[in-house]
Amino acid sequence: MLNVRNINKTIEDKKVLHDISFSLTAGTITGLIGRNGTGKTTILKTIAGILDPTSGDITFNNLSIQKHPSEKVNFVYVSDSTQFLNSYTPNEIAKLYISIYPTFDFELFKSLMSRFQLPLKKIRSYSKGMKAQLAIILAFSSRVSLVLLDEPTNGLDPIVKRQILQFIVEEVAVHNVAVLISTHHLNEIEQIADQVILLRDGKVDLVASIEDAKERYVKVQAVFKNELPERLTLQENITVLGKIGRVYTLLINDSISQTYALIEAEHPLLLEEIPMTLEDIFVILLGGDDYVS
Amino acid sequence: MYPKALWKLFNKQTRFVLGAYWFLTLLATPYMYWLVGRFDTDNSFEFHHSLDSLTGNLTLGAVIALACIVMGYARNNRYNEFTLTLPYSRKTIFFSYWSFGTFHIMLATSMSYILTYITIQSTYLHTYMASGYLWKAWSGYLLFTVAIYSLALFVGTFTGGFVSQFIITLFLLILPGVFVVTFDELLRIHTVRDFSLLQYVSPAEPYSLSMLTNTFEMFIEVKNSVIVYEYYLPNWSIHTLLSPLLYIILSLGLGLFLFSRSKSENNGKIIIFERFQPYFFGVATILIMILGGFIIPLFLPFVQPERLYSFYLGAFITGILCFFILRRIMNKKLTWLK
Repeated sequence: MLNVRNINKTIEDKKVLHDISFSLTAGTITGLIGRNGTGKTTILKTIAGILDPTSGDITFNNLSIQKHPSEKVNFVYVSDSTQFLNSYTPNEIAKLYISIYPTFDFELFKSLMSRFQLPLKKIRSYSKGMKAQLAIILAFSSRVSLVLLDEPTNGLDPIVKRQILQFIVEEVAVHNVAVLISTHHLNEIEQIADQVILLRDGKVDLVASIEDAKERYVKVQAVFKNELPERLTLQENITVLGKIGRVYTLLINDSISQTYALIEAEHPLLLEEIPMTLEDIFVILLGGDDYVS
Repeated sequence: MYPKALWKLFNKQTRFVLGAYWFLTLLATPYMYWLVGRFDTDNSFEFHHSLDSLTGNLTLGAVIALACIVMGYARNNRYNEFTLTLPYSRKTIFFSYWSFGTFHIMLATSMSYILTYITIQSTYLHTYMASGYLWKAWSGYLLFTVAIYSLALFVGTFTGGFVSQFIITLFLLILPGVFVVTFDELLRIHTVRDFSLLQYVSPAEPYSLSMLTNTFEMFIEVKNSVIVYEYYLPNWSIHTLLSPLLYIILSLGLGLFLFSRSKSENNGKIIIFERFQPYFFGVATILIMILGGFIIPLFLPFVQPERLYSFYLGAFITGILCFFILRRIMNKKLTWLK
């Protein structure tokens, strides 16, 4: 459906995107994750046509979006800024969308407005979270093949956040929509995404399904009689995620069974595998969890 | 695809300035004629109408503001990001900016002149006004206004916000005059001779867009039902009308070229194309320095303003200030968003 091929982007003599390539297929949710300033929004804006790539190409159904901008009728970009909505009422903005996207489903729009209890008054009076909800409702009511969401759950309270995520999953399952979500809320992506694209310094570090990503890593808790044996600390594929008392939380990357055997050879008092999270992978790949919420 | 959605979008975006433009256009001519025409004058009166009035200049300001809202302000508040994500090519978007504004200018101007025509026909003015002047004034005013709107849009393709687009448009409109006067003064202060360059370039004045503000004018003096004095400006020639046509064609052509290559990542900066920035910086600094050379000495108690060293002292002070301030401003992104 959407192919991003070798995209490079330079802004003010600084290369912000390096050779970005990935594909999206119908009926999948893809999480675009990475630390702040790694180029997540730049990628979305480049796909949406706001920014021009310095080199590379983006195709939708094998047609270059730059050469055939009319193909953008098949997707909607939901920005993290919803200021442009302010001067409209929900019905006015829906009518505008109808004139842009011939597939816009006004009945669906009305039912979603009612489902998410959004009032039909001036959007200017909405809270930030309500505006974000409205933008998502408009995108999915457009009945397009691809929805690009930039930090969609920012400003949403936990209940609405859950409702919105549930709604996105439903739409993808029922209408075969492809969704690309840029976020650093890893727990949300982990719940709903089929694949993740992990960015580091403007480069794609990992493109994998959530399951594949998790299979590449194992997280264990281990207790040793004394400190962590030196032999283990020297292992490059072992990362210490945390230590409470003598309980170490270790992340094993690649050569899982050999490394597991290596740890067992040190006769730990306790060694057990614990569930992996996307955040663990994020931490090991990008180093440090200070940007992860 | 006819960009009806874009027109809807621009309509919402510009509704206040568009309303002001319509109001001023209808006020500028028909209302003024009506005000004069409704009085009983005993067949003796003086009637003067000029576009070089507060209303006329405000109307022109509204035309430039319309272009600056639709492009510059949209860059400031990221409204244009929404526009660029829509399924239209950049050429279609730019052409829609132009067709949207031109449509309103044509409609408002035509309505204004139809109302004026009705006013003239229904009052004593029709006895004295030269036939054909209204038609000439309408066609000329329309062309010049569309040319100014086109120029402002063209400026919007390389500027990053409302303020820079507005100021640079005004500057380009008056540039020929400012350039000649400044150069004249520069020569005079260096050679102590008065070259009066203006007299050599004044034949070119009709070809400048700035003529719009000071030459659409009529005056009739009637005494006892007899016209004792009258004049109508401008006196049209085909060359006069070629000038705005050329402005429109060039602005549209260059505008389409630049807008297709728009650098949205620099929205909010004075100039969005990085390669243009040093040239803009250089030209702006030199012009401001020259201006400062004439103005600053007037405020310095210890120098004589007419002396050459005073000019260079003023230019130096302005140059230093301009260098640091402009360099700082040029790297800033001015945005209005939450």
